[in-house]
Amino acid sequence: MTMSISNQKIGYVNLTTGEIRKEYITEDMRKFLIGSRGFNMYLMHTLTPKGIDAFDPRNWWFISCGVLGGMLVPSCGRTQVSGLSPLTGAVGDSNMGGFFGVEMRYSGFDTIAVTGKAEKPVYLYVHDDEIEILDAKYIWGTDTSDCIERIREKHKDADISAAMIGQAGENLVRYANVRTGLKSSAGRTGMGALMGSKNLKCVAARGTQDLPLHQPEEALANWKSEVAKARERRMVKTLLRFGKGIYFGNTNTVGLIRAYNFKQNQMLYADDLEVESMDRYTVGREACYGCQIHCRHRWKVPEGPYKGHYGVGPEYTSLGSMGTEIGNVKMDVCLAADDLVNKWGVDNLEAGSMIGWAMELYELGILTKEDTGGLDLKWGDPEVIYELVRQITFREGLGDILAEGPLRAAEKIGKNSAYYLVQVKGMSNLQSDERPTPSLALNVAVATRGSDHLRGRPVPDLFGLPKDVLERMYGGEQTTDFNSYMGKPRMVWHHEISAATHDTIGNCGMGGQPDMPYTLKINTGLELSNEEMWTIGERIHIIERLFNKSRGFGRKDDHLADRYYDVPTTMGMPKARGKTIDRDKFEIMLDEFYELHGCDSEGHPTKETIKRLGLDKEPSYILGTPGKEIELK
Amino acid sequence: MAKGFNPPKKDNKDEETVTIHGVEVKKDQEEYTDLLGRKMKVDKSKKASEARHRTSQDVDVAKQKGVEMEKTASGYWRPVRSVRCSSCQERVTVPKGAETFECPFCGMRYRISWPTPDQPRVRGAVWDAMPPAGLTWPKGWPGELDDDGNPIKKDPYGTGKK
Repeated sequence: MTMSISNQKIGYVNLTTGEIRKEYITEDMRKFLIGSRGFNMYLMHTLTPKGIDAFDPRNWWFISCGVLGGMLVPSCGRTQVSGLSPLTGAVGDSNMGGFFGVEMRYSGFDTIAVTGKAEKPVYLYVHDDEIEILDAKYIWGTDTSDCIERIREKHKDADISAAMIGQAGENLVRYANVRTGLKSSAGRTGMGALMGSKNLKCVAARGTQDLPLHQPEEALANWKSEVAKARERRMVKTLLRFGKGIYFGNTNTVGLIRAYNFKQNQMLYADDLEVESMDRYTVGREACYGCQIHCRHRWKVPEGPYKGHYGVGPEYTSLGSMGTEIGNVKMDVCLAADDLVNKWGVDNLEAGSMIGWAMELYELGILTKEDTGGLDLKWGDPEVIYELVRQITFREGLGDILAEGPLRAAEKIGKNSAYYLVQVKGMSNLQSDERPTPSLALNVAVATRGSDHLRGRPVPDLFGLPKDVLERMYGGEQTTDFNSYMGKPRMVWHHEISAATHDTIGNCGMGGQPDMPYTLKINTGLELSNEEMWTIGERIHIIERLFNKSRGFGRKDDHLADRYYDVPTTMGMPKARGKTIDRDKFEIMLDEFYELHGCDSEGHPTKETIKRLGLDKEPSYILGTPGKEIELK
Repeated sequence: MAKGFNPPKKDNKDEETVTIHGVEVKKDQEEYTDLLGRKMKVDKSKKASEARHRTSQDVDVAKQKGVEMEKTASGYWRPVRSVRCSSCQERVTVPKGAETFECPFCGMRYRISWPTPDQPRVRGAVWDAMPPAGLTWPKGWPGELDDDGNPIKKDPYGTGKK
């Protein structure tokens, strides 16, 4: 069966030479990896030279949209940004919503792969099956709000969408993000710094082409049915009313958040950070492309010292990173800080973690006023928060050290400062406390891109679902007890593979999860069974593990910070109090987790697994081979 | 009385007293001393606490008792206006418009918000009912755990279900 999307391409750009080539995406490629994260991971593993530093011009940077982006499917327009991470030296990968990915697809490209380094700042302009390399002089140095406005003005087209970096990316802050719109960020693993290292300010896209539907009538009926179902869901109604910060209040109630770096697992009387208080600031709602949920508040601070700050959000991460993590319980302070990190293009999670860490070090006397340039790093002090965000972005003073990310900064500061980091593989943890929840602790520890909460979050055991429901979901023995270690590796394994598959499609998961094989078929003509889609998810995960193995990562890196094992939680509900992660049980979970993934005891894929997933002949260059280019400029 | 699981009274003792966080309190009492020795106000909304239901297993029983049920988007049945207690994980019905709520099973107290007029959600804990950092939850306190570390689920309505 012919795919209706057979006109879609991968664009390869060498910024050193100016060479641009294009490659059609064949059905074989789709059946092997589907697209998006699948393509990015394959290309990254195949093309990135071994042993190079992330800022080496030979490194690659990839941006892709899911295979259903821009088609008649709700909540499926997400964009994946990847490359060897400047923050961790491992898999670099992040995912964002918004409109950019779909705009790129409508211009003929599902994926753009960039290598080399431009002599001077440039940006890519993608339109009508073409990629142009243009001078970025007029946007270099701008923040992410200003940048897109200038591009639209220059090209006289208000519908252009862009994936761009702010000043943090230009200054090679190792956790600079890639931004699109006022809200959407590919925040993790420093993909913005990787762009900055290539002198690439942004990729701007304007799509005018069609994405033909394979079975239009069925696709329309399916879309209507999925939208109707989604709108009936209580979760969706709650998201529509309060936005994605809804998780914060519940999590804080149980005692699963992180406050004061890692000193508390609950912040009492943090009512102002609960999303209900957003009514004071909300001026509207926003959604990503093709989404009926509108899970984002458009907000503006109407009065007070932070009057005029505006943005979209906040999510759980913003409330944690610019809230409890740094001892702040005021929503307006949190929103204003969030506005700054977003405009300047810094990952708010990492920035909050680094600031929280610095504050604890200051409290302990490891950092002194001499180190901070006279700043008194008091918990929750708005002036200190904004100043540190500014210093990080522009690499000044203490901020220059913090901009290096957890491990490098700890190496520079010394004095046992590394003990107080809350990180895995050199990337900070989400502002949650996983000591009471072994499933989440394992998830954070084993994620291929470093500490991660988005690509395999096993939360269903927190909801009190009956045991038989959990066992049906995961296909193995489970317990309803979230304190237990039993069955948790299976949960993490399941969610990791499931998330990898969903990322190839571009689905955010908030709008429900329609029958994917059927949805894929009627929209694109691509026929894949559930089992084949699962295998593709496994394949992507194993490619990531192979990539990490080639960079020296293994079992030793799939662990948590020492305080998870040594220091009990002190707050929260009964099941969250007095908890640590048991080292021995954690090792048993790791063994079981590796076995489920078909890995050896070091966490490396076995030969049998590699063969089973059809990766034993790699690199076969099913994507990215120079012999397959169709046009050379 | 609002529709809900309207359970039978257990004994006459219920007419005179209620148990709040392990402390017996007379119904006309405004204040009581909790197990941590703090002066606490009696939460009147407790009396309006309704019932608990699981998912599809309880549908028939619930319908017989006149509980309004709704079908979730995933095809499960659950009582309208219900939330899941974050401590004992029982699903409990919240009285319409309530701003605070106490789980009838474990006694945990919550602040409630309403995304829609018929849909409550747990906004957060009632902080005053939370023991300070470092203290363990005493015997009889909300969410009390059994020897295996699981919340002891009481059966305040005498349904016979644990």
